[in-house]
Amino acid sequence: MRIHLEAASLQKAGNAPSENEDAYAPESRSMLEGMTLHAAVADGATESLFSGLWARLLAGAFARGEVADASGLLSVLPALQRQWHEHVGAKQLPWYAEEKLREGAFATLLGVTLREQEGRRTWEALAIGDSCLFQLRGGVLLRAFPLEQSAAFGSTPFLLSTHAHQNGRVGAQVRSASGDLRDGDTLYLMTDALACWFLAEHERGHAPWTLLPGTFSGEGRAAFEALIGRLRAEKAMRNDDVTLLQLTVEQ
Amino acid sequence: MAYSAEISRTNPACILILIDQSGSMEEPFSGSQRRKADGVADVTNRLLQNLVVRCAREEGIRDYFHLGVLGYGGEVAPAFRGPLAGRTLVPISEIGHAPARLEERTREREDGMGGLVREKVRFPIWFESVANGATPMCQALNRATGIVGEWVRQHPEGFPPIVVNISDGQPTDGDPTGIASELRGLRTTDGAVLLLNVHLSAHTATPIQFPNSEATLPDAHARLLFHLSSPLTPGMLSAAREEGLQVSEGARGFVFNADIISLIKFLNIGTRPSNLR
Repeated sequence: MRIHLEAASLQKAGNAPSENEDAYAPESRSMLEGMTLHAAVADGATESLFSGLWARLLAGAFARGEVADASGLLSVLPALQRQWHEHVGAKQLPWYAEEKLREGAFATLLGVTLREQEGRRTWEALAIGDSCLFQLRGGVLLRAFPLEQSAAFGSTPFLLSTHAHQNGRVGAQVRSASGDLRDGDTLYLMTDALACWFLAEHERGHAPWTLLPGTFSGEGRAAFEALIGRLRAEKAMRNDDVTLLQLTVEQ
Repeated sequence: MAYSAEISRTNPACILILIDQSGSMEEPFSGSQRRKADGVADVTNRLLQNLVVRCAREEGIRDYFHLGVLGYGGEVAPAFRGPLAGRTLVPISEIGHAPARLEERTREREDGMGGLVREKVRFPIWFESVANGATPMCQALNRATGIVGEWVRQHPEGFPPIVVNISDGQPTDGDPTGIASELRGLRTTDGAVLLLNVHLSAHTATPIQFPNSEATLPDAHARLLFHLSSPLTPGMLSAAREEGLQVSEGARGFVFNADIISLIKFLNIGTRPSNLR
């Protein structure tokens, strides 16, 4: 199975690129080949400290195949939490940062695993929070996961924490879904602001995927930035970090 | 929709806290031995601490808020101690970097396994307790109107300023209804200035939070402060409900006889915009 992967991430308007707290893996623009492929996006919560780092750790672990399902997630969390604590604990911090680190960092996680087994190709997704997966086939939106309506986006999605005692409900909050894959199918993984706009546009009878540039390098990247800039200016999209990961099944 | 303006470093919000520092603040909190003045200083310090921590990021403190504290008692004046003494509205990053002093305190927190652990924390102090003189609430509201009015002129499209008045409710310089109405009449394109009141009474009545009518309020001072208070915004209503409080549409930003915990919750709800960017 050959999967063409494109990815783009853009920080909130007014912020520096280094302040982008979204993450994705694997790296942008690659051709993935194999029987099993993993890709993920994660959205670090703006209100927490070092949440971008937490999002990168989560997305990276998923892309390495360490988080196949809910029980995989629960078993890998302690090691990821240790890495986060080792990184931030090595710093000399002022009183307010010490205080904030006690609260921990938070992020959503959406990962998808693509498989080819005995000639059958499938996807399996796992989600915590409101980053969303959309499956497109032949110009039609086939699936939306885990949220299916733009009205379902709230201000307090369930998030994964760097602090074990805040993750008691993770097992119950993990959502999973699966489906089949055909040549030409596209899977989009999006963080919440873009996903909310995407669903709202679809509910209005439009085809928002036709507005997304097929590639995110060179002119495609510029077109993506222009689109997000316009949607923010028109208030069609919240001013939030935006990440889009696009997986296309090659012929 | 009103009260939906973005709060960001380029569009900061304004919070002004008015603290009654009159002689009557020597009295204890309802149901407690603690002086109201000590409790209010503690709570104001904790509120600022919470706001600084909320704005903290890897690179430092983001200036989502410009914040001031006016005391009113023997005089009406900015209440910061230490390096910020005399300042009116101060960016939250400067506040975070310049407490008058850092105390060391011990705190208990849940360990996640059903137990509690004690830990030492640094507690920043910007305000000391003060209790003397009369209760010049009209003067304080008048001064607030000037400060907030200037802010609104400079930030005509910003999130409307939030003014929190903490008092035991007995102004000694006249009826504040007119000046409070003038303050609430100031507006940005996103909505009118929000005036929230916390009434600390020695009355033994049950605490009342965010009422939508004066019917349950026990005395004229409570009713007066209720009438001065703005309705809660949609964001504050949902924040109050998330805290588990029963609030109806039309609920006012008013708390009667708040103990310290409900006072902290009130201040968190009153200053918790869900739209920080």
